[in-house]
Amino acid sequence: MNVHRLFADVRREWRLAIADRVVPLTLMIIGLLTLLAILAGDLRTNQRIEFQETLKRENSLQRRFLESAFTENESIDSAAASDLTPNEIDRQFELQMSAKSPDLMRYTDGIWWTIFPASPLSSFSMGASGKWPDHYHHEGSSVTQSLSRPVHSNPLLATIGAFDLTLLVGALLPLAVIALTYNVVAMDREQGRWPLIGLHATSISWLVANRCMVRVGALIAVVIGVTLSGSLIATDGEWNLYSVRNFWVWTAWMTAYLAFWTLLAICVNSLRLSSSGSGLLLLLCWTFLVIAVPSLVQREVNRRFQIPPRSELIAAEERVQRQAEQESEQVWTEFLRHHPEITLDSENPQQEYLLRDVALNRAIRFRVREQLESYQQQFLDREAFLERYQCLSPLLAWRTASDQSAGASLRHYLDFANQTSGFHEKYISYFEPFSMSGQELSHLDIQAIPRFDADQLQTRLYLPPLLMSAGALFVWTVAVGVFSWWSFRSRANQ
Amino acid sequence: MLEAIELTKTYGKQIALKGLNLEIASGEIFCLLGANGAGKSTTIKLFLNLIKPTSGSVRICGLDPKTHPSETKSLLGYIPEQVALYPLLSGVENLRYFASLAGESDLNRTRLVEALTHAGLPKDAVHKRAMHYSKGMRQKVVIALALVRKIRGLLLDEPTSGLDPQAANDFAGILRRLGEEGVAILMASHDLHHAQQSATRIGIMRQGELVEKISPAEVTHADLVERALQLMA
Repeated sequence: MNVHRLFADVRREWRLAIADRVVPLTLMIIGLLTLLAILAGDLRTNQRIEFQETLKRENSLQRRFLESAFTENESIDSAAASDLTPNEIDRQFELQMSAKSPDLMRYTDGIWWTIFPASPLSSFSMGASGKWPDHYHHEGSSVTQSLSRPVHSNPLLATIGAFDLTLLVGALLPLAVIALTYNVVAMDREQGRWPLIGLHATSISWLVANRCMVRVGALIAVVIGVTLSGSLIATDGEWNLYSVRNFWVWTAWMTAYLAFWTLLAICVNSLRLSSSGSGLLLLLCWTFLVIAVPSLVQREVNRRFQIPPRSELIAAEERVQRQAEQESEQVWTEFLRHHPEITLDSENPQQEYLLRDVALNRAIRFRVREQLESYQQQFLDREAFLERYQCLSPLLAWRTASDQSAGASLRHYLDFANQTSGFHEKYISYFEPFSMSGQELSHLDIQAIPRFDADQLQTRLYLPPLLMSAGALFVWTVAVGVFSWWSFRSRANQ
Repeated sequence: MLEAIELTKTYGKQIALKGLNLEIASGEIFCLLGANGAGKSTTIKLFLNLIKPTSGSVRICGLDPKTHPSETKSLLGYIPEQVALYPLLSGVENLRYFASLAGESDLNRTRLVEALTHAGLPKDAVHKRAMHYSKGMRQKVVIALALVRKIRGLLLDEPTSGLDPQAANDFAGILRRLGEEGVAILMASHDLHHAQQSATRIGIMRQGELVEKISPAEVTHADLVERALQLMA
């Protein structure tokens, strides 16, 4: 078939499709739902960004308070000072007083935040983001205590649950595909046009495929158009190259997912059932693949990998802390054994007091890390199980790919948590030598306090789960395609 | 042009068509007359390759539809008893759709409108939606399709049933015009009057067999009716 003929065929079926009232109506409804999903995601992302801005301001102020201790007038500029709350003014005074102290870590406890910036595509997918914090509050001993989950105040979420593009594309678009394609030839048979079509069409299989592809193509174009324009407007076009790449990965996966449903529709149309028979069969497939299989897999995940509530983790940390305090003498002896370079000055009791504090915090950190790792491992095990069994349903494959490309997968959040832990270690380790040696901090030391950087984290692509999704979708699509081909071929010979 | 050679079709033990031999030349209008179940529609379906023969074969311009389905499809036009179009498309849009389906996708609007008016569709109806068309008007759209496709053979199954006398008369005129343009026409009908009015040859079928061929020009209408009724009984 030449290109000219191909375009002519597409144009012909497009004209027929838009004359059918169902097609424009379905496209309009899906366009509207996509817009709502983008708005819902954008609202949630904006709330997140707004909150993160508050935390960033707090981080920035703390540094400026510390640095102001080394400036001549010992005060930050008046413009900033006029915006300070009474608490911040107190904090400024406290930090200025202790900025040079070797014991500064004690005063900086609980003042630093690590923040996971919202991906430009985060509005596409709530993904695992609702389950994991996008910020951590650093305290002297551990990050675990601050495992807090932001409360969604999005009214759409409160009303209908997690309505996002993952749900829309995963569950609702297949329904739209069914509505657009279930009777592309059955309708002609039932309304008496089949003899004319049968005589004139050079290939019935191509006619069915063309009709389905034109209708689903229009659907994909509407979703991509609304999503792209909606998110560009929402982010003021602030996309970097990674965002563009992730967007096209998202688009490719959505197209691949809908290609599966299109082939399934072609396959059902090849069976020469009535309109109602085709519609019913496609709905059964939808119920099985979108509702039954994912529910069963989720149930199995919950049964195998039970995650303790966060409160249990916090309680465990408190237990660890109490235990370490009870064993403080043992901890202290252990610490001295590991640091033979330390010589205690008997005339300086403050030094021993500081070092004991460092030793205790280290012990707590070490023990809590084990708890945290086992807690995170449970999530990783769940994720690994879901990734392994995503081949059971194209929806599971789509969900994995969607969360990955939107930068909202559990892996992204675990990476952020791990990066935060690393930063925390680096942060504490930065201050420990001052505590241990009793050396005062200079302006340069303050300026060199470690900074957390997670800017590239949210646009990272994790290839193994994506490749597994691609494999699962490919197998499903090829299986349905082969069955369609066989079905058309066997019926043509009848 | 259209040829049936020892054409037989059986459904289990029931014989629908038995050893039909028939040849229709270019410009000839052959009308098959017969009672219900005589094998008329079966013959049409076999020429259209909608069903496979039990034995024997058909030829369209010397080609067997079984081995050359695409080529023979492109040579044939078909007007079923009940013409159904896309109701939400206009006459010209329906014509464009079916012409494109048959591979004629480069036809411009003027050419399509010309074909429709040439087939007898009133000019003011060309752009109306087909849901407002009568049976005769729908048939004219399909005739226009035959005109734009430059077909070599036309098959019609009970084309005049349900048409008013004026429309049936118009239809006969159109068929004659197509015949004059060299199209071989095979038509199945119950309508003796219409058969005599438009056909160049009439074949009487009974229980799957072609029992007699009559030239309508050589008999009066009354004789034709009498012989047909005798043979069909």
